[in-house]
Amino acid sequence: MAQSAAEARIEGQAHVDVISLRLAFGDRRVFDGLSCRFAQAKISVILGASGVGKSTLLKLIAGLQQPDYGDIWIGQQEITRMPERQLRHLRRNLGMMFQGGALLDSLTVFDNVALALREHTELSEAEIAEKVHAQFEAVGLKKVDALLPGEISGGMKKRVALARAMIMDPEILLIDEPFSGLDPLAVRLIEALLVEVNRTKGLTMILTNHHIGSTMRLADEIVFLVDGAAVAGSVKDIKESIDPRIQRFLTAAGTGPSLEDAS
Amino acid sequence: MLGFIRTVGWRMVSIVYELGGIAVFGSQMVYQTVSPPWRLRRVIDEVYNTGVLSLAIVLLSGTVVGGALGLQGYITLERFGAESSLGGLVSLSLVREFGPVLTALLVAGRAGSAIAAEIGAMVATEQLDGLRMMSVDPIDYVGQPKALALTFSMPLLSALFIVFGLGGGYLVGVGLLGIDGGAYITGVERNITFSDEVVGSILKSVVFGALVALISTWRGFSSAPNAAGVSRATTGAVVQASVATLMFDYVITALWGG
Amino acid sequence: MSRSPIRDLLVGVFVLSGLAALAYLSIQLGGATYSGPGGLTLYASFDEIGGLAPRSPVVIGGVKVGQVKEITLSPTGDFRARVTMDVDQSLKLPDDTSASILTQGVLGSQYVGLEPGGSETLIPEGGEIAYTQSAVVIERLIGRVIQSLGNSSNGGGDSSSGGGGGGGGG
Repeated sequence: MAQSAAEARIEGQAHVDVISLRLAFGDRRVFDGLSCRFAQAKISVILGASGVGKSTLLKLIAGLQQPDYGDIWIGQQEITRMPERQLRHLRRNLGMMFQGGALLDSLTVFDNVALALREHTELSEAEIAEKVHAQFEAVGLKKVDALLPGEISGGMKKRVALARAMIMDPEILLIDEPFSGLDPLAVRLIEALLVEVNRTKGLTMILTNHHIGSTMRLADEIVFLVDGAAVAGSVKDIKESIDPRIQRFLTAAGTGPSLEDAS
Repeated sequence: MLGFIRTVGWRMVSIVYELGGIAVFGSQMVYQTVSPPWRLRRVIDEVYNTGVLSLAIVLLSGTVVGGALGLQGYITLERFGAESSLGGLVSLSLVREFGPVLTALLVAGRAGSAIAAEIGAMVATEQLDGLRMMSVDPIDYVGQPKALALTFSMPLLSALFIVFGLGGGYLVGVGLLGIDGGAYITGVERNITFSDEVVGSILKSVVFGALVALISTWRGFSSAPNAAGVSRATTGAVVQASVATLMFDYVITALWGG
Repeated sequence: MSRSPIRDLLVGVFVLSGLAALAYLSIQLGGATYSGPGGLTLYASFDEIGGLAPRSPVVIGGVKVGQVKEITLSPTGDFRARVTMDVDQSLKLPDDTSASILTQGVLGSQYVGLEPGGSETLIPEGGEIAYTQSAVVIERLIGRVIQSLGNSSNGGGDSSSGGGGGGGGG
């Protein structure tokens, strides 16, 4: 890191900056001085074993949890000490896709996606319908308006969640385990979708993932979490890393082409 | 021995901590209630969930309790040759105590537990986090309509409980035990004054409604994000709402009845 | 976002019936609107008012015609209780009307019963009812009975002043 974090932010290259994060749950240290950077308009994947804290890191970036120590910068704003009111304002620029979709059970798919528009804009119902349907098309959904979240498949839920996260045209997209519970075909489809979204809209995307295969295909940058800290690098850097922990992780998953597709 | 003292001390501290939590939550809830948007559509939906769906148990229990009061009252009054006062006894008991208190307990069990369970499940499935990420305050969107609806429904349910209770008392006293119907009705009408009994009764049921609403939503919001947590939140809501109702009943009776 | 019109209908029915129940309790039972606005103020002084309290009914022949507004110690310094009553202004009460404090049934709420006399002069607004009968206080009654038993066993008659048991007990 030749530049200082502040300089990188001002230049617009780093969009999200995590500095010296420390977090413990009771006796368990989750993060111990974790620092990493997520570049603008790039797809960054937080990779690591289950339980290492990937989702927690994402939630910290989203402001849903507070660290014990450390800073998190989104653009020019430090969020760990921000009051809830201000955070709410900041979140207009953030979209989040949760692992299970986190759609509201009591609302239809249409109402779920339209919620942010109804709450924060003065658009007419016709304009809202236009935007929602455009979003459905962008994520490849058809005729789902009146269905309830309980009536659609896991893959469809993820698409709806993506549509919902994008409806307010955010600059940053946070995605928690986009491929969990999906069959290999569905994984590929969602992968293609995410890549397209990134290319067409230039969104900064931060994903958590524990699939090696899709990570290698998707990521511009990888942030590998291990032992409470992060090792960052491009796909090539990580693949060729001499760090024994990373090697162990990659070997366990299998780096051969046949096994890679199976993960 | 030391361990015991430490446990007691820890319990005390956590109770104070809890009270602080619910106080902060309560003030946020009140703030959300008085500030727009008022989400009328959602409030109406919630009135269905808390009020309409509680009707069956409230009306049934009201009739049965009224009948029990009629029977029990008759047995006692007969000893003094005062059976004709049954109307007064049944109406006073229902309006002053049984109406507001029993309705609150029933509603806590039926609607309060449902609210805690629903909100708790939303915590466990990250739906509330989802709302936060869409810049929507979950207390405003989820908590306020439910709390408002329950507080609004409570006095209505209480009044219906009382009316059906009076009917139950009539059925037993007049229909079964042969008291003069006119004496029953006159006893009912003569013994209730608006400014004393009825206002006190309505006041109680509104206070109980607010209590049950606050405790149920609080238990839901503060539940641990897993199945066991939701279950604990649900039972906790019923127990705590019921105990709070009984405690406040004593306080209000003492202050009002004087 | 309307789930179903049936639900809305049920909500409407629920709210209306709840309000109706409240109205019934308030008006029919509670007498929230007292028919007959009163308007005529009368006074009466008693030696003993027993359990009479403000808002106790004032009754003629079993029909409620007003209520007690205030009870104070008589301003003329004779240590009697002065009861202020607010009754229906259409009443034309003769000035020899009597007022007694009576008890309603076993549960014992007390009220003022007026018995109109035959005089041709009417009591004016703010007038004083001259003939009054105080409330029965059980302890005094028992005391008097014991006293009279004692007297008759001594062979004497006893003097009992007024204010004894007219119309008490249900």
